[in-house]
Formats: sequence, structure tokens, C-alpha cells
Amino acid sequence: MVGKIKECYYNNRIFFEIIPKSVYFVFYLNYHSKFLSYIKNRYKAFVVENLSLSRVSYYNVVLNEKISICEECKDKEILVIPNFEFIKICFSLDKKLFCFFCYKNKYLFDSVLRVIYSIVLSKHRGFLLHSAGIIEKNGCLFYVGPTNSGKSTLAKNFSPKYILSDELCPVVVNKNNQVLCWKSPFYSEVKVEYGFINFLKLKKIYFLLGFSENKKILKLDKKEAFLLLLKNIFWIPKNQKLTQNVLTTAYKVIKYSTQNKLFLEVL
Amino acid sequence: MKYKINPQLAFRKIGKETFIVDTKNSYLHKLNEVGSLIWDCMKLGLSEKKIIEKILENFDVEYDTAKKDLKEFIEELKEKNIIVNDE
Repeated sequence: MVGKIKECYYNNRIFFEIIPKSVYFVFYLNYHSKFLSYIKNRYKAFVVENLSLSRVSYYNVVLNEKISICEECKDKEILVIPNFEFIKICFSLDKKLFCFFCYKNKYLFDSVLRVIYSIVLSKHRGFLLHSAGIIEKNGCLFYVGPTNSGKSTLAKNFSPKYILSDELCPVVVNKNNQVLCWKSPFYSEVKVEYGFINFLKLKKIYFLLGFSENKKILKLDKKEAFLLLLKNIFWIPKNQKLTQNVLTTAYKVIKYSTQNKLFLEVL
Repeated sequence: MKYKINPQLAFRKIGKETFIVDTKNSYLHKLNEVGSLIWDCMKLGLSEKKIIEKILENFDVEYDTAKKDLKEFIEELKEKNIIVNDE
């Protein structure tokens, strides 16, 4: 089974919105379980009941309880611990199959979802950025930084309905070179209040470089900003073409931000 | 002698500097202005002799110094598996 998923084997199908109104995961599940209910509930803002697949881009993801080693994985070392419940997540992209194994555990599932979400974003001129996203008027401000840089602490000062995420925000550059973001399915300490998921323009990026008693905001040049941006992208693929996409997108974020007098600043 | 860029690399030029990501080990390399010029020449498949000519055109440097520096730079790129010999 390489890149082909036969729908008839799977009696449950969930459409998961990756990029608003345009790109989706189609999760196929061949069992009824609490885990299925969990996915529907935890990511309900992104789960779409009915969808015409002919009008959108989509990526198939099969969640299979039975551990079987497919052709793509047969030469790789796979750790299987008896008496633990595993799920196998197979993800098809460009006629290739990527397989992930994880315990049937919501935190591990969320981690795998972050990776496959990032891979798809890299195909569509985007990435997940380690950042707290705060909605301001009709746009959004990003506070970018690694773990323990203060993203959640900062996000806690805002109402959950104004927060995109306190951990990972999705970004894409559209055909008009506008930098767009939206509410993220991934968060850390601050639970996001979702409502209607739609695009917002990215207005400003701040980079958090630690705490200081003397609050300083410094403007960055393009090279410094590019480097900081790269360091805070959640997932750089191992695939050369996808990595090249990520670099091009990061460059466009920096270029667009400077051209429009939106500032990339160190806080 | 000509050189081939490792096909596993992704790169982007910002201003006069070039950022290179090695997708195999996730290393990020940064080339300065001279390094970026040499890199651009390698992408075009220019020989060592042509690359030295380009360096002399763009920078105020003696031929012998340019030749020695290029040799050292190429060795470093090979060591880091950024380029390979293109026979």
C-alpha cells in the first residue's frame, strides 16, 4: 500500500481543516473507540462534517490499530512494546507513504499531528512558528520565541478569544505575498477559544529573547530576522524540496514584513 | 576542477549572505559575501579558474591570496559535505 488508501476498508472518516477553506486532512479510522470521540472533541473547531473533496486539496491519514509494517517502513527499526496500545498513522503525500507509530495517547497523537500538519504547510507556502499569536483589530501580532521565552505568560494577559495560540501559530504566504495566519489547533497552557476559523493578516512580529528589567525593543535587519525566524520554525522537513519551500516562505515573510513597514523587532 | 552542490541542501540568499540548510543533519550554515559569490559560481558550474577570476573582479585581492583562500574554502565545504567533486 503506497500512497493509495481504499476508502471501503474504513468506516469512519473525519475531515480536518488544515488551511481555512482550502486544505484538509481526511482521517480514516477503521474502528469505533473513545479515541475517535476524543479527536472529534479536542479538534472540533477544525473538524468538518461534510466536504466536497473535488474542490479542495486534501491529504489522507489512516489511523490503524493493527500494527503492520508496510513496504516503506520494513527496513526501519520500530520499537514495539507488548501490552501497550499503539496506533499506526500513515500519511500519504506525493504518492509516498509516511508512517508514524504512537501509543494511543492524546498527547502523542497531538505531537504526531503537529509534524504532519507542518509537512503539509510546507507544501503550501507555510509553516508552524513557535509563537504566541494575539489578535489586534483585524490583524494579528506574533511574539516568537522558543520554550520558556514567555509566550504563555504573555498570552495569559489576553482573553482566550483574542489568542491564536500560546505555542505554535500557523503561517502561510498567499499568491499576493500577504502573510496570513489563523487560530491554531495547538496550544500549551492557554486554551484557545475558537469560534469561526478564518484568515487574519500578520501585522507585526516580535522576537522574545528572554526577560530583562529594562524592557528593550530593538529593530532587526533582514538577515538577523531570517535567522531568528528559521530557529523558531517548529519543523524543518528532511526532504530537500520541502525545506526549500520553507526557506522561500520564511524569506517572503521577512521581505513582506519589511516592505509594508511592519517591523520585526526583538523584545 | 568543477564542483557539485550536495542535492540534499536547501539554500536562500539574503542580501549578500547565503543561508544553507543541510536536510540530512538539520545544520544551518551561513556564508559571508565572498563565500556567497563562490557559492553562486559553483551553482553555475564554473571551474576553479573562473571562480578566481570572479573573485578578482569583485574584491580587492591579490591572485595568490584569492587562490589560497578559495582552496581552503573548498576544503571546508567538502569537509562539511556541502559540495562534492564533479568529475
